[in-house]
Amino acid sequence: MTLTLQLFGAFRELESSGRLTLELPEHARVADLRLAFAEAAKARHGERFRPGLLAVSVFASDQELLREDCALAGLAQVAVLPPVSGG
Amino acid sequence: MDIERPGCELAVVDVAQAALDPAAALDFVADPGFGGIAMFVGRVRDLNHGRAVTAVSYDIFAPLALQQFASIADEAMARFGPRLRLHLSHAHGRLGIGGLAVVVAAGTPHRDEAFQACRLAIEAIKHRAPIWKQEHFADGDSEWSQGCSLCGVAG
Repeated sequence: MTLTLQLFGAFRELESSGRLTLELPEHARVADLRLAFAEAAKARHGERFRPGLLAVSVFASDQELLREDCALAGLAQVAVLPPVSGG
Repeated sequence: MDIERPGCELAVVDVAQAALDPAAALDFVADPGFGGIAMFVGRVRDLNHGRAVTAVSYDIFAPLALQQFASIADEAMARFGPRLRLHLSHAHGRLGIGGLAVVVAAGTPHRDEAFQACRLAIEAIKHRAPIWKQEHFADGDSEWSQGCSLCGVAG
């Protein structure tokens, strides 16, 4: 499956488009997406990618935060959310 | 961008289009039966951790931010009653010093509920809404704030 990952906050600076397209296995879950993003970002950006930031980030759809075991089938777009700092 | 909830006005505002409007927020939460309105206005300050700040950029995942605002409004209604009127708005984009970043207004029959609802909402926005702050410093450097990790879904 092809999935578009939307990047926010510090992750947005990795890609000028603010998004990254990833190829994942058909039955991929959020945990698989986490690994695929880490691999792709490391390959594309080397040390500019901070694994420590990903470790404290979560994934979400437009509607809700997604658990690590949540299946991604049916979602064309998912966001990775680093720690938040609004207000 | 906004989302519908009875008695609530929830919005993410692109600062290139408009500034947050505290006066309109006060109007929205007013009611002839209400004796209390509490408001919190968050503004960009010129100093953070001893460094001179010149501007702040806010990045927002707007659809989910509005869902979170709606969920915060539902919690406030459940706690303070269905008569509560609530306004939550957050700026999206780059603001200079003194720029309005966030406005929370709560209207209720009595002052105690208004203060409590306002406090509950601003703390929940800070901890749960998918919003990121990047500070721009006088020396030309820019930095994303460390922030609070979103939790409750890991595992």
